[in-house]
Amino acid sequence: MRVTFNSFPDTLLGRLQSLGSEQNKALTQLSTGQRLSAPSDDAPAMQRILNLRVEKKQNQQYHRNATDGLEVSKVTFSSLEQIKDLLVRASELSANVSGTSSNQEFKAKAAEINQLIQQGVNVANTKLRGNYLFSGDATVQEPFKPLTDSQGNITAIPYNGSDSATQIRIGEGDTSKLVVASASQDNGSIAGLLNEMVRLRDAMNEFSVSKVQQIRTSGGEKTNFVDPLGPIKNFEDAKGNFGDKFALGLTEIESNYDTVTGEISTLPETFINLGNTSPALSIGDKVKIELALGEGEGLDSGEFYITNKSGNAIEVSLTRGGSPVKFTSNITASSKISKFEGIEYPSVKIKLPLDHDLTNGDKIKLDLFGKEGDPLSPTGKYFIKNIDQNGYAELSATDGGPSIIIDEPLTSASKFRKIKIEYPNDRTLLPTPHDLKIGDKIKVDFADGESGGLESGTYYVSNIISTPKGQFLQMAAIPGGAPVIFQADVTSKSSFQRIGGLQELEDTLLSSLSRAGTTQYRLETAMKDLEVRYEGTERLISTDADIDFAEATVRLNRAQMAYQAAIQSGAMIQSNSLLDYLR
Amino acid sequence: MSGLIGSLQNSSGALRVHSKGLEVAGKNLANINNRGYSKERVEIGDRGSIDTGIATESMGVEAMGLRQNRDALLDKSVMREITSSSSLEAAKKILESAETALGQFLDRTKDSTSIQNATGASGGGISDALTDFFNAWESFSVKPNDSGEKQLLLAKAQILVDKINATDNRLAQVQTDADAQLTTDVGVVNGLLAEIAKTNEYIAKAELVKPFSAVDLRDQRQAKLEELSQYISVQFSPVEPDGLGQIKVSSNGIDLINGKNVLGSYEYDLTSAAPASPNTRLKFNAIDDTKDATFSTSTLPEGRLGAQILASTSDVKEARDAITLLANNLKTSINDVYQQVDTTNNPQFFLSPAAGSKITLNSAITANSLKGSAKVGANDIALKIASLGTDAIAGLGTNITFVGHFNKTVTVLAQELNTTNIRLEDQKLSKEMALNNRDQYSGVSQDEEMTDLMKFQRSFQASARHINVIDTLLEQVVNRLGVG
Repeated sequence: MRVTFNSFPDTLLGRLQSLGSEQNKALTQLSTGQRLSAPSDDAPAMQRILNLRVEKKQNQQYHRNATDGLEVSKVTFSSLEQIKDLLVRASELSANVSGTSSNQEFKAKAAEINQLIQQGVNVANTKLRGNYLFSGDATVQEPFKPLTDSQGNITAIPYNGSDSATQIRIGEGDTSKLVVASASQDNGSIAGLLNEMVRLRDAMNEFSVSKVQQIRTSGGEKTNFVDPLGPIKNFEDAKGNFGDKFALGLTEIESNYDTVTGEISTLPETFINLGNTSPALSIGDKVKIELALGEGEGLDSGEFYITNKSGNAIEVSLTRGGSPVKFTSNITASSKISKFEGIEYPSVKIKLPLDHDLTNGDKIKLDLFGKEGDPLSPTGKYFIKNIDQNGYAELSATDGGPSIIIDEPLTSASKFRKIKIEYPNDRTLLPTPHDLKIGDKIKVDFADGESGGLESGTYYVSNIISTPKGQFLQMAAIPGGAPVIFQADVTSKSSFQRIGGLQELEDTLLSSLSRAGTTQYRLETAMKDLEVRYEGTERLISTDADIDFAEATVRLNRAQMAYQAAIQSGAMIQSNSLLDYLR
Repeated sequence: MSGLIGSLQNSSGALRVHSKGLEVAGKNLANINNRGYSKERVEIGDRGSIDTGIATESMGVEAMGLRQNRDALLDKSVMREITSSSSLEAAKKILESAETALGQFLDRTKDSTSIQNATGASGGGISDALTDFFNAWESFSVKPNDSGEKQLLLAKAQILVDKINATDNRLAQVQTDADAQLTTDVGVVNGLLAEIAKTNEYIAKAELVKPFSAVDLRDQRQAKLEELSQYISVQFSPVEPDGLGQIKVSSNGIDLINGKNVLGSYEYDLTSAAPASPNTRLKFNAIDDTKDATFSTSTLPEGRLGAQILASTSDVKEARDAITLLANNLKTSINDVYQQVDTTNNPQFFLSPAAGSKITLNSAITANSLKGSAKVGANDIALKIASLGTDAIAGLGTNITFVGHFNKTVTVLAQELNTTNIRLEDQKLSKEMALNNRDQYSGVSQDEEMTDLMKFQRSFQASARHINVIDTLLEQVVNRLGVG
């Protein structure tokens, strides 16, 4: 190998540069403690680190969330405990009431219970950092606003909060969301419980031992709803037999005598003169005309509608209300006319039974058989527009609206009920008196076909509306929720029962407490888990990002030694050359 | 020729040869540090022979000419390595700038070591800003009525928006800088082409009389070719026949120089609109219009020009596209959810980006108007937005989150830079080897020159001594003979 002048310095320089950068790298790593700082130092590791750092930050955030949540949960738990204490005290006060208790004693107890109620409302309206804890996610809305009578006594404590609760997340995904304050079922129970204490107070004020005992042990009586409909009645068969009920036989017809002008008119003519023996025909009736041979040309034998009547003369048309038919030859007594009895459908008329109790403007609820009454809705509600002297009624969809034309005649297989009280479908009629207060929890038992899709079960009284027609109940499936909609009428076959009794309410409260306790436990567990994960993540980051000090130091030393060796040997070689031997 | 006088002439010729040898050794030594210089040596030859009656005898030595130790194969290998190295270095520069522009560096000194340390580091790149932004939504969802949390959330949103826009602007600047550099580089390339053609012309003139005699010019030309190799990959071959030392230069099939003629010039066209990928702004405008050429990313020549264009229009552009995608998805995903807080007015959290930016925060949203739900005091919408931080976003790809997308963008670029660095390290060695190989053949060895110096010195001395001896003999003949 031919070693040229530049070979040595080039090699030396190359080595020195490489060793220099090696030392620089080791020095940077040792001084920062990091194995890498720019992503390009180790791209895959950097991606792992970046993702782990994100996870670490998220875990920090979840931990913060859980810490806040735990605080809320703890305050919720302690508030529920306070309410439980109030309930226990009320229970104690009611326990030793007996026939021997004096009125004074009753009064004193009532006063104390009143205090407990006030305190209960205060606790139930607990706020933490400006947010109501028992208000669901309507955190800025006071959840329990007591209703008072004219003396300022609390009469009911309705729940005014939201039906959904604020959730917080303590981990990734939807499964890590949880409610840390009170859930709306629990809030509803608190309202029911405070209402029960109001009842207890009122029972004390009435000196009623039996009522106090009842409140202690059980809720309300099972009560039937009020029937808003009259008795079931059947329609009558409205379909007549045509042509056979009213027959005139031979009729004296002087068609060329104009009853309008009193003169003999010339043909063609539209008026058929029925003579003095004119039957009780009226406009709109349907008649059958059988013409004698050669008479009434242009008219032809057939079925017609009476469109006009003047004295004993009639005009007929092929359609109801159509234009009169002209005839070009006389009609005499040889021809016959007969009237269709009954109603021909389509018609606006339906036949009511004789014992109907309906008047114009009433509303009925139908229960139609098969396709009868089409296009009426088989279970629809309609207004009685008009009842004629023969007991025929016309129906309209709205009060005073147009009569409905019915295609299929009704028979006695179809039924109707008079609607006694009419109200929107978001409520139902309550009996008077009833024992419900807004905020109460009730058990509703729907009779077959009356639920309209609602399940029998527990509901919450969201409102009681008093009207001149009576008191109406609005109820919600969840406390604070929208009133349920009744798709079918609730009648006296369905019933409701107030859930109550201090003992049962205490049990409900205990389960609320246990839920709050479970939430606390879950939060604490999650926090521990997050801490472990945080440390794990940090360890993983450290594996990729941090240097092994011993290794880096050794590496630095090695590089330094090599660097020195390179400098020294380089200097030695460079200082020795033929130059030194040349004179 | 013989006799004393003939010997004297012989020796004087030898003296000339030796002094030429000394002169060349001196020149070699003088150029010892000149990497473009190839070692020269004197060709010593016979002046011719003559029949002296005794034998056919030499008329003495003379310097026939100068020879270079230059080998086209080694030169080409060096040029290839130069091209590769320059390519990687240029790509590295741009990628490093892009990595810096992305701003996602690791600084663990600010890292909190405990989960309880709630504040956390707020520095870092978009990755941190994104996480902080979604964490702020989490905090807001926990305390939906807390105005402090609202302020914090808006501040984090603004930081995120600023970071996204600033990062994109910095990346755009990297591209602008690359364009400016490319314009300059193309100028240099065109200049070099002209110089090489000129040198070809000089060489032809100089070597008209004696082939391979224009050694210094050839050195100069090789140095220029190597400089050109930094920018584009270059091939050369002699002009045949009777090229008089001239060469043809081409680059990947495009003829650049033929002898003294420059066949065209490169252009980096910044005036027209940027062509659609994979086409690039680089063009070759040939004198012969039929030979004009444009370049796509796959036909770009290796070297600085190609590497810079590639890095700028693929790697940096991909990073920018990824940021645009991130910004757009961020806007639509969050707006879709946020507008549910008011179904009549449908308020937007992010607006369509203002000119020169990728995403804009709706300034109408203040701590007072920020809502976490359609219901007062509730947090359902805030919670939904917070979960977008950990949800896979379909618009970004399969099973990837916002921050995952950005982290991937950073890593893809970093991996490219990392690979470039590693290849550059290897390439440096290859280049070193190629230079060494050539140096072994063409380089100046101090030892050789020293020995040459000694050799020629001694030879000179010997020849001078010979003259001296002849002189003595001649004196004998001239002055002593016949003098009693």
